[in-house]
Amino acid sequence: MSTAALDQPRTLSSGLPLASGLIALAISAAVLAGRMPIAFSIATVFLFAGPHNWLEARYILGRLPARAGKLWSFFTVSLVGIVGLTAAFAYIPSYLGRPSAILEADSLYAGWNTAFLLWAATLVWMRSRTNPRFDGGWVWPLAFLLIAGVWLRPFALSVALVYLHPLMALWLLDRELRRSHPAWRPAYHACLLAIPLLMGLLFWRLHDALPLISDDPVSLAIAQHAGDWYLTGISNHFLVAAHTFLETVHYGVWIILIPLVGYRSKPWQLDTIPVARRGGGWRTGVIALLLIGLLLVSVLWVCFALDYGTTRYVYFVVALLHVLAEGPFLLRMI
Amino acid sequence: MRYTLTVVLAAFGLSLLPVQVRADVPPPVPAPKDVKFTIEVDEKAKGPKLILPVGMTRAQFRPRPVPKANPAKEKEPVAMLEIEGDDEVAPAPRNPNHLMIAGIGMTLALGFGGVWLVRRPGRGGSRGLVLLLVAGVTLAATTVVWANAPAPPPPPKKDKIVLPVAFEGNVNLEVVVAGDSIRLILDKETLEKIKKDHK
Repeated sequence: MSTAALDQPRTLSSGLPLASGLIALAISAAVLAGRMPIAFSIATVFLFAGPHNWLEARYILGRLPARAGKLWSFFTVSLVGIVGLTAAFAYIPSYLGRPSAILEADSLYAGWNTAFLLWAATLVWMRSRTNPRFDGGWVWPLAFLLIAGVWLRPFALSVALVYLHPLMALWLLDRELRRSHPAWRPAYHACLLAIPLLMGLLFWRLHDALPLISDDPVSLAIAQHAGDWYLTGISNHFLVAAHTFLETVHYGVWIILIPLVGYRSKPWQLDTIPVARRGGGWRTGVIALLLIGLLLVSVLWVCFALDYGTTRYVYFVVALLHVLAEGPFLLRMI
Repeated sequence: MRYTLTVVLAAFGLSLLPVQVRADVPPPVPAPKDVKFTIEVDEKAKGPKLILPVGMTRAQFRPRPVPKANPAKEKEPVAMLEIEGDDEVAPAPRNPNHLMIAGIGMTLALGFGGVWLVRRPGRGGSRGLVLLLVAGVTLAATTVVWANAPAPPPPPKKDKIVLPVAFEGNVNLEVVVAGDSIRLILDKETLEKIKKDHK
């Protein structure tokens, strides 16, 4: 990314405050998710889903270059994939509900996963051809191997993405630390071990726990989102707890840790947004984008309060947009 | 890193293949269970006959009902079959096109992987070639080995209890589509013989 060299390390401290913060966040999330998975999932999505999207958009704006330049094709492929894949994902359920539907759900989701993998592989390949270059030849065999897998198990990758996406925030935080606080990374890497340890603890305590039994649509939707319809051999108590734990850590990283270490100014100060520095309409556009984002966060809270179940469903379909956006952004930070 | 990636690729490939080739292994022996059983006497019968509903056999093949809600699917000319076990409804059959696409994906993965291993910039090709050959031979050998896997062991036998024999001889075994009980039809001669032997 063209802004990669703008920041200098601000401190050479050991990073213990960051590590302590992450561990405290992870332990709190694991305890709450394990003891009251449904209630905690409802609360955490209600409170943090919207703000974390806004802060993520603000962070990405601060890191995007003012002009695409030679990266124009990379950004174009990224944008087409982000919008196209999100639209297709949102369309699949309505297509399956039609009496005239010809394709089965497994074929549609396998096709979507194939398109997603090819898009991601294309981006990795394009990224490998720009500085700093790396050997990206491995991406095609890996992509086709995964494509073979998604046609054998059409829903496996979708369920895996539900659990892997929250970890992307941790990876992005590592990339951010590498550029702005490299001295903090050893402590950060050490405390990352808390995540698998806490996941293992949750699994040990809950993998054979009594299933979460509730007939209300919200609880059913949360369990379904955690993949209990697919991973039938494990108690859905563990699945919901694990997913809620990872989601909460991911929200915490985006709302607390990345703004603390990654922002070079207050969120509302636009001088550190390269696109806004182009002036004129660009600055106005950035202001409008951020204000609309704040408005959407407020609308999301109101909708959650009015009809939590429907809003949650719609949110997680639309939120795929930011899940996909993190991919190309992370690639530019490598 | 690249060698780790190669091992991961090979392991993932291996994990996919056995699922398919295990189809050659016969299904496990079902556990004993209680079923309806009747003994009937048919004076006109020419010999004992055992009638066994097909639903009580280990596996059955029957046409898969086509959903009425989708007119497009009703036009499908190919009759689909599904295998039903004794107690549980079998999962929906796998779309054969999915297997074909997965096969194409696997082929492309091996092809691209081989080219990448051999032509990696700044690396000798022989090491990559060796890795490729090892991965290929392992995949092929594992497929053969799994395909010849023995059937799962039968459930442990309980101590055999020797009971007095009420009847010994041949019966005519007939498998019928309908019915929910096993029927033993005895002819008059056999019935008299059983009665006589137990007096």
